[in-house]
Amino acid sequence: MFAGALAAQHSARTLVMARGIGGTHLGTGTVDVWGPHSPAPSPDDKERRLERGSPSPEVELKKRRTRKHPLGLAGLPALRAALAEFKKICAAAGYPLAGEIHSNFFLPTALGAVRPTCLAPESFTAGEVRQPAELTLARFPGFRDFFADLAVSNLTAAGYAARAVALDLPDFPTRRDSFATDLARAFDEADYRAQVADRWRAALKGVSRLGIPAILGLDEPFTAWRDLSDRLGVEIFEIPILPPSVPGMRLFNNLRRTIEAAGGRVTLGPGIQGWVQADRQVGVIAETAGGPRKLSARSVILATGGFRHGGLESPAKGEVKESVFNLPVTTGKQWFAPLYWDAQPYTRFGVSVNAKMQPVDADGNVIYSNLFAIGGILAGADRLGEGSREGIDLATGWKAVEAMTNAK
Amino acid sequence: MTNDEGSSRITGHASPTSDSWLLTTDLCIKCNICTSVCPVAAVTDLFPGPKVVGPQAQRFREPGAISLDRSVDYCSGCGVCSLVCPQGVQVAEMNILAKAALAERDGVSRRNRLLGRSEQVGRIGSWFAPLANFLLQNKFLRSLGERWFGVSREAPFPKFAWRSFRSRFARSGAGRDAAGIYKVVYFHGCSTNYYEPRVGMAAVKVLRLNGCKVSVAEQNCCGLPLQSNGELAAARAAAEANLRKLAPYVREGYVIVGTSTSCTFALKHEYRAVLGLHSEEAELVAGATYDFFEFLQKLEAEGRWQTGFRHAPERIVYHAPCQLRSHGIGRPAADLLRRVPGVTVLETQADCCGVAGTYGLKAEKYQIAKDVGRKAFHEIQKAQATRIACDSETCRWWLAQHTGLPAVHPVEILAEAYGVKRV
Repeated sequence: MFAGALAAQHSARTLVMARGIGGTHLGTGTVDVWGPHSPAPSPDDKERRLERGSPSPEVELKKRRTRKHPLGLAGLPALRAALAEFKKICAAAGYPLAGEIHSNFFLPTALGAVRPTCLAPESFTAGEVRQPAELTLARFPGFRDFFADLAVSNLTAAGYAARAVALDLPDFPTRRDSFATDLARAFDEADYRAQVADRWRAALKGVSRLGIPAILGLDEPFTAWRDLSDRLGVEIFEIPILPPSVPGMRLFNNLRRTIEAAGGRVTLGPGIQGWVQADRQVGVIAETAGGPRKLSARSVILATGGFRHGGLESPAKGEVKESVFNLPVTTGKQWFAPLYWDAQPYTRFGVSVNAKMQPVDADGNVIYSNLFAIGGILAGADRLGEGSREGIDLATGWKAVEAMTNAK
Repeated sequence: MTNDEGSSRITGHASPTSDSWLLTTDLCIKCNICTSVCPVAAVTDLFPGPKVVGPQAQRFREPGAISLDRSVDYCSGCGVCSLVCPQGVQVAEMNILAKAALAERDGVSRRNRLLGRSEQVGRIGSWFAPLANFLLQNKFLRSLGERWFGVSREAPFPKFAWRSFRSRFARSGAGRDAAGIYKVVYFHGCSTNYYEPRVGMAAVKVLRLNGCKVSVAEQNCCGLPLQSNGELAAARAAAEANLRKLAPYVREGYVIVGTSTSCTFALKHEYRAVLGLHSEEAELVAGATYDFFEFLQKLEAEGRWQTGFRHAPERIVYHAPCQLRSHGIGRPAADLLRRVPGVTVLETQADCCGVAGTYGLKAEKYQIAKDVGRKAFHEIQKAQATRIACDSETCRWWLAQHTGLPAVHPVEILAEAYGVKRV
């Protein structure tokens, strides 16, 4: 989507096609660049981190510059430019992101773990666990997708001062389970926020910062967050919860609007097959309702993701296939590590590309002259373990669009 | 865009075919992406959302058994859920069939029988057009209609045309061309035939101006209104009749082009995916069917689209109906209207205007449909356009009623730009 937005801003005719909506609606709505996971830190860990400051994604990446990792291939300048561009798109949509490449935030998760991330919406940042003020987390009785007490017990066990407070919501509970999206749409209304503030004020005496599930508005979240914080006189921070992810939807909507405002199209639904033309050019075949329709384009960007997203498939034990163009996949001998939480070798399987993000064969030759591959389909990264998912998506997307527009 | 080179080849594989929709239940990972975009669940807690009534409830429906949960009846059938699912679960299709199973158990109400039969209603209404139009505007009768039938007294009803499209077409002599760059069967649908013949006349003129030979082959209601109102057997009969009538034309090299985007979607997709028709005829017809502007875009790609437009300065607001989105072809009408000199096209982002065929006409759903449409109404009013362009008739009538702006099919705007007089 980000590459689509950049491409649309460069040239008028951009089409983003996807079989359904992807990771944004399931993710956290933050931008992870580099921040390997560790178990919830013990109080000792916390002390150390506070002294040292946060590990800097920039410094870490400089240390481990490798041509085999997508971030190494894209390079730091591309990563910096991509983050700046992404921040610009979000800011223009009235949804500013905070953060810089040289440091990470440490934000509480819905389970009460602590997670490093590079860029986060402004409405998340007051949750920074290294700040000394106690974390007060909201329990909405009847809302099943966030358990404040569980988060508090884990945060407390890790040495952070935290407690839970029960806060009622107006017009709640409803006749069915409410989803994060239902609450978010309610919080988009100023009247609703005013009612909420009146109800919560008494319970929040003495609270300096309040964590609530990420449900503060879909259409105008920044306004909703500022408005509620001001009405209550409390620093509010959002915590991403179970899907549907409201903060992820905000990013998706921002990107989609950016693409469409620049004259591009987003078509959801059709499955895609590859169409290899005579002159080493590719197009795609879209499975429309009526049947397959061929689409050719000057450039095609493949962003279909890894095994979990359908970009890679394993038709039989030990086999790997790239699902659209049947590109060669770089694999390894081992697929799995013995323990579930270990770094799993299969996550590094993927398509190998050159510095322009063009898929290459084992000898480094470009396979199709107008094809680029970006994001989760690329070989060499353990996106989850490294905490590098969105950093890779943005940097490789930026790089592909740069190569594509230069080639024109 | 669609040129076929000699030595090209196809890689990857097709998605599972639509007759395996039941199996797609197990592809659901319960991620709730469908729920997050469902326009009905967003405005009412009477509907628990597509995931709950779809794949989740499906697991309790033994083959042949039906869910006891009636809330699936609040699904409007807009189909957005199937489009956004990253796993390929056919949520909307599942819900249509669950609704039909309920209708089979509990019987179909008089109201739904009436709304499902747009063709018969249209035919009888147009015999008595002036009288029928007068009666339908009468507030007292409409409130009786609401009480007896459950058809909302507020819901918009179009006016019956005194003379049907088919008879106008026959009289115009437009079907006598000997040849053309394409031989086209124009699928007009019930609304063009009985309510808006002007849309059909505009379509025929645009097709002929682009060098096509046009036929209005024997055809009947696509069956979609019957399907949406739970009468699957009747819908299937209508579908099979259409396939019998249309397939011979396709074998002779005709393509089928329609201006009602829900009818063309039925020919392309619903006959196979929902009604379970997998004959050779069904495949043939589906593959040869184009939505009107999709077909023009094909001509454009082949360098055969006529662009001799007069300057027609106008600000249009275009709404892409939910049914059009399900085609998976983008928004060809908006793309092509932009090519007319002087025309500015603004587009709504709202996924659905609310009416979803006959859903918003029902008394108990009228308010829900209106709430769903609020976003679209707002966008349209904000656009400060002179007209709404939309490829679906029920959306046009609904949007016109709730925004006060006239609503036309995009082909009417195109016909005007070609200099064709309004008909």
